[in-house]
Amino acid sequence: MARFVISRVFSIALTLAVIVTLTFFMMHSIPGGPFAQDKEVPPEVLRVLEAKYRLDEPLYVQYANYVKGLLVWDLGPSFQKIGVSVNDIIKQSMPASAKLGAVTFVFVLLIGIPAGIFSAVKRDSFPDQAIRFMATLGQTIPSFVLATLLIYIFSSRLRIFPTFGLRTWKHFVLPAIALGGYSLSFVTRLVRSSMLEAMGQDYIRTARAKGVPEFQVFFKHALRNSLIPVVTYIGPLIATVITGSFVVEKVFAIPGMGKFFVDSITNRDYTVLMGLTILDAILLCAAILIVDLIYGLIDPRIRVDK
Amino acid sequence: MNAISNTRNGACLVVCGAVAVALLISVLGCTPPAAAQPEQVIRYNLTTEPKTLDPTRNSDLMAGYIINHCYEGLLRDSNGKLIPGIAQSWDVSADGKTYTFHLRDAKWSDGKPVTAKDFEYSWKRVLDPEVASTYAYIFYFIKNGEARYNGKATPEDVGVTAKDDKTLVVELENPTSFFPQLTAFMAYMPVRSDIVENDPEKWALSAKTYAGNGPYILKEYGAAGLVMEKNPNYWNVSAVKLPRIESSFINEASTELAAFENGDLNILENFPSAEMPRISKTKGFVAFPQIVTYFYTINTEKKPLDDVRVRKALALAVDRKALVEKVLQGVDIPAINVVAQGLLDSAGKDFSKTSGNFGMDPAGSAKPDEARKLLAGAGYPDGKDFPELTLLYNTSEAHKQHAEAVQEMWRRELGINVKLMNQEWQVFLESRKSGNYDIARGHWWGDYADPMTFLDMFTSDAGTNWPRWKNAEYDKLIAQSMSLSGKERDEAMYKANAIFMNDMPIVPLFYPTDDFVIPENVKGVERTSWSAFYFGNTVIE
Repeated sequence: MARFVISRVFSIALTLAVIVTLTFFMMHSIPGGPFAQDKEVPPEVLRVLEAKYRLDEPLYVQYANYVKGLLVWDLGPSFQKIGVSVNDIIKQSMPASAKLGAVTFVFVLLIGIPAGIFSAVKRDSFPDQAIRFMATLGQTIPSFVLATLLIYIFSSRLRIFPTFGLRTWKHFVLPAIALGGYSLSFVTRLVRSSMLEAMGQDYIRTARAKGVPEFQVFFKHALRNSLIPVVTYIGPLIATVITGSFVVEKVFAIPGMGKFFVDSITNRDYTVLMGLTILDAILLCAAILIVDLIYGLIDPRIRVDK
Repeated sequence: MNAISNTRNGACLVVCGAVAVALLISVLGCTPPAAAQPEQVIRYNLTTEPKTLDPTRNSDLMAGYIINHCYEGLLRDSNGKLIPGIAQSWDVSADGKTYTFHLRDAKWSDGKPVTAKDFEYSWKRVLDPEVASTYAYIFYFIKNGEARYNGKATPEDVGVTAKDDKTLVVELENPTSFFPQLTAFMAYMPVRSDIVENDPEKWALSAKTYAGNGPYILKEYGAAGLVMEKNPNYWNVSAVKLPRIESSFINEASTELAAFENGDLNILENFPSAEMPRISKTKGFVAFPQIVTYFYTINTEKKPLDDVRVRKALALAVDRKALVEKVLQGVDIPAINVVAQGLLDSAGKDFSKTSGNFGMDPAGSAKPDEARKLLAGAGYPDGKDFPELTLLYNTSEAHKQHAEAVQEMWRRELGINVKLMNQEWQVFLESRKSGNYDIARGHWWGDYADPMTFLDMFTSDAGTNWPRWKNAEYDKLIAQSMSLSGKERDEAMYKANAIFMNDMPIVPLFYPTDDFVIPENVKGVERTSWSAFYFGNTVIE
């Protein structure tokens, strides 16, 4: 087990190094710069700005400086927001994204898993068809359409939920649905299909033949095995919902990380773009690692240290 | 954006069903009883969080709106009219080059007195190349302002001196009749040297250290929004009517519209353009004119665009009236000059309207016959053999719609094919700057209320001379008009403008208006000539 963890951490470090390097050089290769604007700044001032942010050094030196800072988790200053560092931006925006992400995560699993099981148990009944229809719909509607639609119906017309921000519990409802809509549909379909697959296995037939009550067949034998694909999906799900969705954060004016991410590309805010990309990558890798470890708990057949 | 209008009918069923739920909720008494006295708060959305609130480093109008509430310059701009601010009065020397401002007794929000030294410090700070403020060019009218910013002069050389605590003497490069107006502009507002020097990078990030001398103080400031309240130490605090202003950072037009419609915002500024027909009929809809021109710049170095007849043909073939009525939904104003409307000459006449039509129809209709004749004269009868040109714009749904409309007009009237190409903003800036385009979109906001703010864009060595157009006579006239005043200056500027427009290195399209819904119960909303709101005199009835 320890060997497994060490080898995974090592490969994660390698992955991150590749991501850092690729992002850094790709980012600098796109045209434009952080100080370009309609009315240009004089060369003298541009020189001052570039010196201040150390953009006047050769690219490989900038890269070395960046990596040095990264090792002590100093992500550098934002080029656009005066006096604000990338660490500040993460500290300020991560809680909003993480809170909404946690709510969404719980919402997706709490509804998605039971809905999938129910759908599988009541296969081909009207409720199953209805759930399958909703799940297909949920996977095809883009989140910006869903978000706008939710605001239109529940805020603008019915005035049940607020339009923007994240202040009270009511503020979480619509963004969580918009953010989790796709994942919810995906989890529902996943649970349904893997549940059905498990139900067709020999050991289920054996259990039934032995007279095990149907309730136990479902929940003890079939469910445990059908959750493995869901656990696989949990890793990326956590990383996605926690790092913030640009669309959902934009529509609901949530001061989270997704917003900064896209703005940083438009503004060529190099350090912010780098910092958020790396953070995103770290979270994703960590989530996948955790998932790998959880496998063993659910299914003893999967031996991670083999 | 279309999602809203398209889903309206489809959502009707859901809405009807849920209305019953909403009714039930209100019957159960969940809605608060209507207040007798309306809450005296303005809730106004700023689309994004400002990059900085430091007046000496800001170049953004959104932050300018906050600065206009928390700070006060020598003068104040109230609906475009100048009223006394920190300066009680001022004198101008006979040659028009020296202004002496006499300051009143005023305090900063922490109680310390506002002095002439504060102004001297702040203005010199903007011009300090080490500070690298991006709005420094608005101080080039001050003696040695440009030299200082370019690192060729010392702070002592700059023509701003606090003679004593109450007297500020400003020497200008040239007589500049609109200088008093500049002193009401956001970049000219003073900051406190002790606070700034204590933490030059971070002082403007926290409500605690953000000391101002204006009618409001910053009470709260975070990633979700900000709150301003009346400043008890403001010299004219008794005249400030509205106690509180809240601003959010909603960056999605459909959300702002929803927030306005359910009462979370008092003023509507951004809404999906598809909603314009409905919104423009709403009570309280106002379209403020602004000092802005939307145009297409023509690369005069490329064939066949180096031929003035081709450029004129392109300009005359555009039906601006149709563009405004059909594509822009009828609110903006057709443009036939690069200079925006509303800027006056020394006799008080509108410069843009007085300057002439340059062959175009002032009402905005196209002149297709003349356009075709010009194109034929250039060797392309009915557009035959005309090379395929590219019209470049930065990625945006609105710019695309405008480009498609103009593309169709050129095809129909001149028989020429223009390809549309969009680029991401930074890439676009780079292409336009380096002359790597045929025809490109341009959009210019005047920095101050004088025609010069548009005219000086196109001198041979200006960084904004996107058409790469060169005319020695034009350069001479612009340089001359800098040192002239009154009628002579007008004459030079009109002449320069005529040279430019008759050579047509740009195709003016329209003057965008700034559109709002301000409900009728919100009274006394003011706006500066540089498009920032002021809510100090606002009352909600």
